[in-house]
Amino acid sequence: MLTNFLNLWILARVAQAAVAALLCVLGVVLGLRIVMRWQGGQSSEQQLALERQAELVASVMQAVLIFEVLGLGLSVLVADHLVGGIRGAMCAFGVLASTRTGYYSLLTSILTAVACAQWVILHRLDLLAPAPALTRRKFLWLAAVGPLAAADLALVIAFAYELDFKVIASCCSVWIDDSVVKNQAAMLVLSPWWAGGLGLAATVSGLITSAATWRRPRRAIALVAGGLSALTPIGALPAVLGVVAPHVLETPAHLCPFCLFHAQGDYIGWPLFTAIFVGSVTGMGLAVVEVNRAAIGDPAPVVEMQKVLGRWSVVGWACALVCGVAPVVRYWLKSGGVSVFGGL
Amino acid sequence: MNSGNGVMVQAIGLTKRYGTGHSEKYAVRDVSLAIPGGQFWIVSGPSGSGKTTLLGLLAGMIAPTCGEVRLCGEPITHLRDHLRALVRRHLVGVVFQECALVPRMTLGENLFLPLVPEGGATEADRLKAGALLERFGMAEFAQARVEQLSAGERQRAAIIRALLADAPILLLDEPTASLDTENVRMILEVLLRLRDEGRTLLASTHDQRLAEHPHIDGVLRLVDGVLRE
Repeated sequence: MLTNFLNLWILARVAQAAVAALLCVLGVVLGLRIVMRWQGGQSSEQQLALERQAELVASVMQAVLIFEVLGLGLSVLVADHLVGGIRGAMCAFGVLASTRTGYYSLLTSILTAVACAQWVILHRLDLLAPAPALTRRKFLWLAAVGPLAAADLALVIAFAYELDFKVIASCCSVWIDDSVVKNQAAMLVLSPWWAGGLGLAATVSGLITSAATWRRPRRAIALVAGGLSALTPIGALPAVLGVVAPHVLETPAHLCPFCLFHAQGDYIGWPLFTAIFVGSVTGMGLAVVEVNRAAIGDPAPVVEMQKVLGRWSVVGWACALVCGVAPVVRYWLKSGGVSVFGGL
Repeated sequence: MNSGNGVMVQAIGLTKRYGTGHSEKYAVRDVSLAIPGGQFWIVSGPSGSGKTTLLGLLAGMIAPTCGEVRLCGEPITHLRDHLRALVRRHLVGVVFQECALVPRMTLGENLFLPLVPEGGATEADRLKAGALLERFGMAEFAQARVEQLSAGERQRAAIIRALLADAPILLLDEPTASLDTENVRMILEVLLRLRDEGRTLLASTHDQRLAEHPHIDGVLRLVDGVLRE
């Protein structure tokens, strides 16, 4: 409904996505014009003017894309704040599930944020190079980010339009109870030992490979760290749902990640998911930087960038581990060693 | 610090244009030059001929409209701003037309001002500054405020500041402007001594005493931004 757009939270998210998408598309158009005329190494009037234009467009895009990354946090915040208006939806889970596009919108926001973060990493690497070396690659990558930003905007609008504040939505526990009955296989993935083991293994391997790249950047390890960092959130999610959430919320069947953003979840969702995001995108950046090593020519900026990214990835994964393990330890201490899952 | 072919300062098709359309004006137009290492060259020309712009372009302080600048054989045109600043700090010493000294600061404070971006003067810098002040007969003025110095002393102070980074190239904009004959002779003596030590010097001037000096290695004549043979 159009009146939904009068809600300040929805308006803020739509405005953020609209400004980011508009500037992204503008950046793509300008970027492609620059790429088409680009003649690297030449000192002609056109080339020197293009170099200045490219710097300007890239600087603006960097700010826009950081703004777009922040949009991901805003998506969760908006969905969470709409809980009060939709009966039955106890957290963002219910709000997102109450429309057809809710989860597609969130998924697109995540993909857009990851793509934007990788572009920013590519741009920072280019700035470390003695002369512009990645202009073509940067603007071609931007051509992929632009449609994603546009899709994000379209889905945010669709989600906001589809929201029906009169409907009675289902909360996360209804979905989980339903899944327990209908989808035993999915619930098996969330079984504490399996999910916990996988999450721990994924996060620790992400941390170790990022730390190895930070200490001594090499091609093979950087590529492995990048690949693992891309996969680790997928491996860590069952652990968040199956182990962290029940311990934080102190209920064995409360597997909702969105409830972790609330006071009842000690707001642990914010540092936990931020840490996973930071660990993952900076870890993926290690591979992105490695892939562009040859284009940069000079190895010094590549090593410098990999050390910075490796350090941030380690910080991200370490914080994610602490945020994930601390509630489990706290529960065990509080309960005197009794498992939240009872018979476990 | 000489490049492979011995050319320390090189410009290829260097052009600087200001404004567009009817207000378009070429300050420097299609200038190509090559100054070998260890030589002292002069760019002469009337006021407004583009000498200062040319020096700014060669020092990497002004972005060219087109063309290329090479210092010690390394092209600097495409370098990013922070790297160009780094190159300028280490390869080029610049003496500005009005000396660009801060009048209310002491001579010593002025000498160390360019070192602030690198974290300030070290003990080695202080020792080097002391030696240079001694060598140029300025030691007694170290604690004097710049506004108390004469025109000739300020010019020498500006040269000392440009030398502090040990740059192999020295670009000087009108180094003898508003100086009397005695001071011109003294400054010229200093500059020739620096040349003899292996530094490459390029000075802009409209002062014929400097341009016609027998010990100058080469003179470039700039008229309306264009180099004349």
